[in-house]
Amino acid sequence: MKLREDLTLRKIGNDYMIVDPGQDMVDMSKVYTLNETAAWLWGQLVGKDFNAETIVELLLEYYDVDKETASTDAQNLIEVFTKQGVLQD
Amino acid sequence: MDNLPREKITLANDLFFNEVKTYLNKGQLVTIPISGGSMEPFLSHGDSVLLKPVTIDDMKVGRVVLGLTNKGYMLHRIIKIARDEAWLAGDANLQQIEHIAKSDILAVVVEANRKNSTKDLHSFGQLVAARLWFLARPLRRIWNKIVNLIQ
Repeated sequence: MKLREDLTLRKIGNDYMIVDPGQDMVDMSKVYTLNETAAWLWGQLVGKDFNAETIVELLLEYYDVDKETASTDAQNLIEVFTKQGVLQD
Repeated sequence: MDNLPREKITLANDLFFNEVKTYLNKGQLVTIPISGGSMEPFLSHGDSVLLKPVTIDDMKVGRVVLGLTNKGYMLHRIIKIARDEAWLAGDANLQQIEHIAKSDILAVVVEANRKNSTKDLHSFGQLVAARLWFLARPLRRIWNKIVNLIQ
């Protein structure tokens, strides 16, 4: 899976927000915020083909977490991304 | 890492609208959600509106615009145009009027959306209704007092 390339991550104040800036139209009524970790992951994953394993590896490499927690977090993140429609095949 | 992306967010007014402004300045149309009830009954909390960058032609009484007031950015209706100034009021408000410079009006509503239906806030019928609603402010104040007494 991949992150939708038409979305951009913006830091607004202390929040990270994914905005959908269309060619002529921007929908700010459907924006998603990410926490710091998720935003960091977004930055790492953008433009790449990834799966849950990729996220687990990134978390293990950069964060002080055990494998089990990392797997759960990765699954949760993918679930939320899927639900919010920010992924493409 | 609980609470990853949140479904609904509340950003500070100025941060949110600075972002909106960035897109408007590029000439893009921007959809924003309506928050609060100051434009009832014409716009309700949870509706959304499509905004376009404002032009001179949009500076007319009755237009619903996004303006920078001394209380932050507000989506209210123009009730009077003076030389360099525009007076804005929320349709639901009984007293308050915001006096702002015309240059502080950023955008005008193109259309409003509620669930799956679209409404033109600036159709003749809507403009007449909004004007009558505004002129009825004294009556609405009295009505409001009666309701408050009963409750």
